[in-house]
Amino acid sequence: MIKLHIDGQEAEAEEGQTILDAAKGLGIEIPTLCHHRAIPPVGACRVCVVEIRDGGRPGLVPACAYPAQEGLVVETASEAVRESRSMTIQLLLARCPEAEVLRKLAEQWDAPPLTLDAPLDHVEPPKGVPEGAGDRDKCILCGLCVRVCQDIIGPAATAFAGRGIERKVTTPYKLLSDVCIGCGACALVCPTGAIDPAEFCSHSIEKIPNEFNLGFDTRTPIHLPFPQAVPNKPILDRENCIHFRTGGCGACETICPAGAIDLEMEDEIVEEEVGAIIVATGYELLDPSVYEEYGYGRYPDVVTSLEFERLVSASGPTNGELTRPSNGEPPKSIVFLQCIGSREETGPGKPYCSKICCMYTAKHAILYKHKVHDGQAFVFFMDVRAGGKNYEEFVRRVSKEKVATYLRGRVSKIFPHDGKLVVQGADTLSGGQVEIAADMVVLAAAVVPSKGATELAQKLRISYDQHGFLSEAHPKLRPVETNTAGIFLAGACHSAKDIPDSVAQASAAASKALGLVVHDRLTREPTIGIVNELTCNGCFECENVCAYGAISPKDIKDRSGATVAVLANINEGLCQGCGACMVTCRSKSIEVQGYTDNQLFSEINAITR
Amino acid sequence: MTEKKTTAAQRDGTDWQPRIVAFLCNWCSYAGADLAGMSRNDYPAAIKIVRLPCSGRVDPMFVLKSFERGADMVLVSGCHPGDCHYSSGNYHARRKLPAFRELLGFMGIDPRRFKISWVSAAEGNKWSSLVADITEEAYALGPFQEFPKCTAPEKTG
Amino acid sequence: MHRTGENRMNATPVEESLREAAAGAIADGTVGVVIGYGHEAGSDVATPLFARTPEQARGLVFDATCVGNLAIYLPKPEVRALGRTGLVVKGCDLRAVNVLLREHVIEREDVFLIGVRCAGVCEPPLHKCTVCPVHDPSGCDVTLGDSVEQPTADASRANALVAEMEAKSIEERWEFWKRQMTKCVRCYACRQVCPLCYCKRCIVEKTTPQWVETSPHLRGNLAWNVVRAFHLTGRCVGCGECERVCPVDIPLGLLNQKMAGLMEQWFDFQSGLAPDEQAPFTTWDPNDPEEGIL
Repeated sequence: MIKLHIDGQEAEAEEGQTILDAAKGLGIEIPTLCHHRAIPPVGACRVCVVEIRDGGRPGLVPACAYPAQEGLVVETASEAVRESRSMTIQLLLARCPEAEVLRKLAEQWDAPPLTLDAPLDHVEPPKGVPEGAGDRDKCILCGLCVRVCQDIIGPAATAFAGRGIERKVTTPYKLLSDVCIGCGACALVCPTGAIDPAEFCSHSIEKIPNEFNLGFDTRTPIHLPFPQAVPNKPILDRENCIHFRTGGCGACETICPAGAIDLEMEDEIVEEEVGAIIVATGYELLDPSVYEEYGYGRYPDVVTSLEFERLVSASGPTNGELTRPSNGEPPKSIVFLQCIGSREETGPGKPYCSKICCMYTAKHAILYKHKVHDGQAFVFFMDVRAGGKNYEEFVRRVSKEKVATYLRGRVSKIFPHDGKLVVQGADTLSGGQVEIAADMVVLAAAVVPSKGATELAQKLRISYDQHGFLSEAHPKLRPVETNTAGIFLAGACHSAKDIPDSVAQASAAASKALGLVVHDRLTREPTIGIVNELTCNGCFECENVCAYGAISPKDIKDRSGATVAVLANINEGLCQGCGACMVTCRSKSIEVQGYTDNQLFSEINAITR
Repeated sequence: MTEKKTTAAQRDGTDWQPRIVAFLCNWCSYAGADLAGMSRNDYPAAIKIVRLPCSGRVDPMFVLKSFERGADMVLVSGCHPGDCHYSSGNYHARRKLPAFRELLGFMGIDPRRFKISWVSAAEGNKWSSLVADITEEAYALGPFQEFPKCTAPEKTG
Repeated sequence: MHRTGENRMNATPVEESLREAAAGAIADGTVGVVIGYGHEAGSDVATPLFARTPEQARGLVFDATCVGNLAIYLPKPEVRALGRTGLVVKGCDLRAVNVLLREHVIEREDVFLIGVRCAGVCEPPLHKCTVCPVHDPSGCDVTLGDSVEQPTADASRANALVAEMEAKSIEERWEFWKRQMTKCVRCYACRQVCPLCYCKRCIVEKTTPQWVETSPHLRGNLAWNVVRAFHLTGRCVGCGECERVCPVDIPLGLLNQKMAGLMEQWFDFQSGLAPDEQAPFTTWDPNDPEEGIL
């Protein structure tokens, strides 16, 4: 271990570490610009200069590049350091007055802007590059982008060109680059935000819509799926990752300090034996674009309730600032439409009530008023169905306190006019037509089961209704069980329900599942098949029809141990008692207990008497 | 539905009621019938239900047996294809039972008296309208006499 | 052309090779018995001949009187007790053997199949021969006889009798079958002669519950013949023996043809063409016909 002194404190460093690393170990912050942990230092920007007092050749050295040596005595904020750093920042700021990071450094290190007699000449942008591209005003020529592209990513798409005040980072001959893979590592490492590969990459770089924010903003291939994700770890989206698309990049693997990324990793199928399954596949919203009259999908300011939820969320695309998607202005008037696709007996909608919309619309009205104090909110409703503890009171407060104006009726048409959306509807209580010029319209679309829920149900052998909601074993007496033993339901996969109901059902499902798995032995229905070995022919057509592989050959032996016949045998642990084998057996040599032929004949005889 | 029954009986001038034997799988159709009841959906009482684990458990001979014993119509109802609780029982039923109906028809036993349907656990409404429809058809077809009554040896040419 | 025992020695080339193959298989211990056709004075059709010595094999014949399906003997324990069975099969008989193999009643190594190419038996040829798809039995241990031209399949001719019945109204069909079934005396000859009715206990002999009424009245007779036809659906190979032996001439083959035609139409299946086929009632397809289901 190397020992040295920094600002009068004793610091430790390992072989190969720099003064910067050693200072970081003490919690001493040294400003850097051209330094990146993953890239070998070159000491280009000189913001990180420190003074060596003793133990080496005295003078100013870049902390990021100078190796920690035994016995060094270093000052990180001495007079000489301050003077030098302030000058460096002043010069950089004079070159790049737009760079936010420099402005902050200037404030911190007392570096007032230099006044120039004449502005710097503008240098022509590269040929073929769009006008205004390559914001030279922010580039401090530290070369970090050049080094990351060359040393870590590999293609070396950019380099320095020109001399003196014409020196700049650009592509060869200032042409669009074919070798650039559009990975964005240069933009990631650039301290001032001066570089954007979209401006010189010859391939189109597509922005990836952020699914969680319903496409209102974009995300990178490595991202957190949503803010409260469990586990709260980023995931890599293989389809959009440059590495998996081009074989290049892989910068994340190098840069990650924890070494947590392994790009060689393959998807694997994990098999687990379980004693119970809880299905909680949730819901999604009916796509309201099926209703052309509301213009969803055509007018950007017509959004679904879930989209509104993202737009007002503090963790959403606008950081909680409610703005119109069309122009970013706050909506001064908003109209909420309820029952979009719910309680509809004909047409593309659903006949059931989606149950949660009355409550969340009232909540949305309150949220809207919190964001836009002088805004006006209207709600078109069919009936307010607020059955639940304190629900009715909540809705009444929203309506009584004029948070929103409740209009009983349906909307027939929405069309854009003069930058607004004109909402035409009926107010059946006053008996008149209403027309509202709104900035935004929120559609409370019907709750529908998640895509793929029915396919899952078919795999699990559980039943579902015509809408795709999974069926409980009994609507009153077994509301969380399915017909298949050991499989339970929780939440909106079963029917539209709100959070308290979902939590209640989930708790019930969990306790049912626990009740099943805590026992050492499984209690089974006794209705399983038994073979009559006296009459079985051993044709094994039963084996062919058995969906559970419960039937297998059994050797029948005589006293001497010689096999005299090979007959069907039913594994009572596997048999589910469906009876397909009984029907297939021509000699009637299998009986399913509880549904024997004798019993069924007696039933037939009794009801035809 | 009650109305239909009355008109049919009046039409015949008798108080004859058809006897429909229904074989229902436990998981879909029986539950569907149960749901119809729970939803207070009315359906004719002419139908008598035998519960089985699966439509694949319905031996075609049950159908013949029911006719022998005097059923005027037989219904077998199971889960929709793809939804069988036992994964494939209704697929086996879908091969055997229609083939058996063909055989009956070939031998002069009116295939309209043997119905096959898929009714899911959620289709209480389908169940009650199905029963209403087939009951109405059973009234139209009238009593199925030939079969149960043909026990005496006949002289033939 | 009926041949009798007197000109038995006047053998055709097929018979010569048949006798040679059978005698050889017996002599070298390949089989314990060869079951083939022989002639018995006073019989219009060839009768089964069990040859256990090479000399007895000299009595084997093969001609247009060889109507019977000898596969019936394969499952019988008393026959199996004689050792490995050699069996003379025509194409149609081989189909029955294939079903027996498919249903694990016999294993392939238990039998030595002597196939004889056959263009049809009887004069004029039987209906089953005119529509037979297997004039040339393949997969036998020995195949004898000159090659026979295989006519292209003609579904309309194969189903002609069925179509004739289906042209009738339901009431006419009922009258027809009522007349036929009333004749049945429940002798079960149809069952005894069927190579595929090998059950240790036939369903009519199961009394708890009583699946089929045993009294020979129309209702019981109908039930018996329905269950017989249905138990053969997807299995019957159309050898026609049931109809041939029926003492009261019920057209039982018609029921079997109806169901065989249905299996071909719905599931593209003909029974007994190969030993490893999957019987239509032991499998399913998600795209099976769905007509007539409410």
